[in-house]
Amino acid sequence: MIKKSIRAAVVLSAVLAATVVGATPATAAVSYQDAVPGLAPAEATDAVYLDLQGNRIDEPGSAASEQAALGCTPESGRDNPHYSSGDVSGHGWWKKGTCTAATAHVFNCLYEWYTDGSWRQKACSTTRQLRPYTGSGDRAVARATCNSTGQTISWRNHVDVDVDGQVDSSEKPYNQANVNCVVN
Amino acid sequence: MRLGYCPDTAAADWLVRSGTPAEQLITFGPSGFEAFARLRFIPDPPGPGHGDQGCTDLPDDHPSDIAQTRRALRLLAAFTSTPQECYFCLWEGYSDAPLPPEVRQGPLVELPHRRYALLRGALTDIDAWEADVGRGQTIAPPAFVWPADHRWCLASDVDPDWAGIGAEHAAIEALLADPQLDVVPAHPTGTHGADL
Repeated sequence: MIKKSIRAAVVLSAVLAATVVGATPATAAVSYQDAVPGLAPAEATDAVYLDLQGNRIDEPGSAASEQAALGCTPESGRDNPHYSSGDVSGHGWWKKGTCTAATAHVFNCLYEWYTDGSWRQKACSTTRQLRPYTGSGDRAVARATCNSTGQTISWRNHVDVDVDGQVDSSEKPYNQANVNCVVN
Repeated sequence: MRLGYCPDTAAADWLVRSGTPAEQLITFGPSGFEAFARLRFIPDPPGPGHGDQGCTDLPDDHPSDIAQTRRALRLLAAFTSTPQECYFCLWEGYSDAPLPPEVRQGPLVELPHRRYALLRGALTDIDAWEADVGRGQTIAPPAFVWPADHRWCLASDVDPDWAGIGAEHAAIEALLADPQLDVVPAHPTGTHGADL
C-alpha cells in the first residue's frame, strides 16, 4: 500500500508539472523528464518510441505495409520480455515464411514504457546472420540489467528480420509483457 | 491433437509448492533429485562475455533443441512407471506457439516470473509437440516435462541454451552415456547450474 501511494504521488506530481520539453509526445500530460517507468494502459494509443538518447524514432516496422507487396514475408519470431538473473531480456529469430533464402540478418530491441506514454529503447542485440529457427543457437538476444525488481513495468520486444538477398516485408512485430524490472 | 490442455493445473502443484528457489526451479525443476545434469543444445560459450552474442558457429545439420529434447525423453522413459501419463508445460511467451485464447484465460501454472499452460499426454506424445502447439513448425521444447510419478523432471527455460534435468543417478548416467547428446553433470544451485 505504501509503495502504491508513493507511486501515485510520483505520477501525480509529474502530471501537475506537465512541463512539455524534449521529446514529449504531443498528447502526454507528463513531461519527458518527469516520466517514470510504469504499466502501459490497456487501451492502445498511438505509440511513441524514443531511442537511447531520448530522440523520437519511427515505430519499429511502421513502413512494413509499403514493402510487403514487393517481396517475400518471413515469419519473425520473438518472445515476451522476461526476467532472468537480474536482467530483462528478449529474443528474436526468424522462419522462412514465403521467403526462400537460407539466412537472414536479425536483431531485436527492448522498450520500456514510461508515464509520458513513450516506449523508450533500453537495449538492442547485435545483428546476427541466422539460419531459420531450430533452437537456442538461432536467436538474437537483447538484455538490460534491472535497477530494481520491486515494480511491475510494461516492456516490448521488437524484432527486425532482413532476409538475405531478398526484398522482404521489413516488419518489426513485437511481444509485450509486464515484467518486475525497472531499468532507469 | 494428442496432447490435451489441462483445465486444472493441480498436477503442477509439486512445482508451485516445491519451495525451490525461483531461478533454480525454472531451469532445473524442483530440488530433491539424486542427480542433475544439463542437456546442452549448443556448446557452452568459451568464457565470460561470449554468452549472448552468437559466437557459436553451428553446422547445418546440428539437431534442433526439440529433437535433442525428444531423444533425452526417450531415454528417460525407462525411468518412470507412468510413461502413459506425463505433463508438459508451454510457456506463454513464444510468438510461434501462442496459447489458444481459451487457455490464455487460465488457469495457468504460475511460477515466479513465468506462466505456463499445462498439457497432459503420453511421453511419446512429445513426437507431436510441433504439430500440437507449434502449427507444425520447429518451436522451442516444453518448458517442463515430468511423469505422473515424479521420478524425473526436464526443464527448458527460455533463456538458457540448455535444459536442466533432475532424476535418479541411473537416469542421469543413461543420458551421459548417449554419444548423440551433449549432457554434463550439473549442480543446480550454482550460477546457471554449475557443472560438477
